[in-house]
Amino acid sequence: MPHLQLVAVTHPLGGIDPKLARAKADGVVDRVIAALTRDPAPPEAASAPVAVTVTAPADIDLFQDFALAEGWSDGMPVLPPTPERVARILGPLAPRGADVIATLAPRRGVATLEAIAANLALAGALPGHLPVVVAAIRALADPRFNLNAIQTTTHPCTPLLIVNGPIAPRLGINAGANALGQGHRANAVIGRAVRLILQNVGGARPGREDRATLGHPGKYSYCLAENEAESPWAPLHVERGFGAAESCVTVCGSEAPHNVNDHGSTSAEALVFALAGTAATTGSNDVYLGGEPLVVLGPEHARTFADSGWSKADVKRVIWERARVRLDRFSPENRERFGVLDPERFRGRLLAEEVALCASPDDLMVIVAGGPGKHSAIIPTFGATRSVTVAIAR
Amino acid sequence: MLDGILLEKASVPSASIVTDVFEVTGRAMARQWGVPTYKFLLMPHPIANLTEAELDRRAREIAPEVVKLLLQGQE
Repeated sequence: MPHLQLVAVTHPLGGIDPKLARAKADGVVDRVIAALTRDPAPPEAASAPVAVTVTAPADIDLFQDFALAEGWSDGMPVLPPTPERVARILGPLAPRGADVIATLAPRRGVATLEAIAANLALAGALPGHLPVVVAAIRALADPRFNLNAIQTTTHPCTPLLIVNGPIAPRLGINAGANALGQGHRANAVIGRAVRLILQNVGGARPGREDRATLGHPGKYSYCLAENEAESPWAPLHVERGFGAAESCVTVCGSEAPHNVNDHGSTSAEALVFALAGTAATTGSNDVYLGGEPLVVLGPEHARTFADSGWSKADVKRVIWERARVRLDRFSPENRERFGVLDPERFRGRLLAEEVALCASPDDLMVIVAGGPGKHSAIIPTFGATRSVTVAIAR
Repeated sequence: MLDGILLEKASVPSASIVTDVFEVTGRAMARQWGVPTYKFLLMPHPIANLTEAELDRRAREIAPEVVKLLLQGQE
């Protein structure tokens, strides 16, 4: 909507005195009236996405400066998306390069197969990674994910990709030791390609449309596979109705992981203390916006739960019952604000009462990942987002 | 493990024990500290969840190897 009229007020608005807000409103009311009564320019017709070939420096170091100036880069070195490299990534799909996979917020950028492949080329990804990225882009465009808010919020959230099924070992997507860390090409470049697509096609440029106050390091790349081989339970995609032999990607609008170190507990009843204690925090969006916090259990912690006879549903239920925040741990201003957003859980309650880390135990997500060691992680979300699982085309 | 390597370098006999999943890490550390053939002992992973009795049994089982390594040294 290029004709949409905008009026700006001085930042900030959140948490200011109502008198100040009134003064700010008084200051802009004339401009609001003018904008409402002026005849807007007619909307421009949306043009079909067409790939444009540009000339870039052949020298790989000079190409970095070029890519940064064009806004194509995440700051780390990128590889030139030459027509040959993009064609190699598309492979047999090359004739379908103009196929539209999704429209991505906030720019309503059209993610054609070719545009997706060009960003895989920038990220250093391989042809085999394309189906995973395409499925992830479909998932991100699902309205339940709320991509426009995820892309433009001041919150640090970014898509976390969880890959399930046989494609993960086939592509070498790490589910074991250091699964959320460095050192595995597939994890690094698949997550990075998704980020570059969100920036270059979705149009979320840092500090401009992407207004993250701080962001977090997962915004470079945030991708792992579930360690299905070492999980005592059904994996995430099976829990969501897909077949075990199917491959899927799940996207979550996630914060950075917070580690849960527990070397001492040897039973489920004991282990739940550290997990619930780490998950129950006052600064998380999930506590008042109803998101789906993710518990990533290291295989040894998962084994401890299973050896105590707990199902995955038991783990979710007990963490939810125990990960509680007393209302007097929230400031009076936040209690009032959260009471407007979620009156059922925050209005008319005693200060000594507690709220759970999210709205229901079914909203908690549990996966198994990582290698040897007694660590797990809690990954909160943006809150106003639902994770989406999509099958990866063979 | 690094403590064991440094003790050996200071001529104090040592016996390092790691769980088997950390063997590759132990060998890499030995190479980095200039003792690529450094001898150390392995026991099955994991140990953190073992009961006191199970841990005692593990210790009893590996004790002869510890004594042997301490007496025989790294040569």
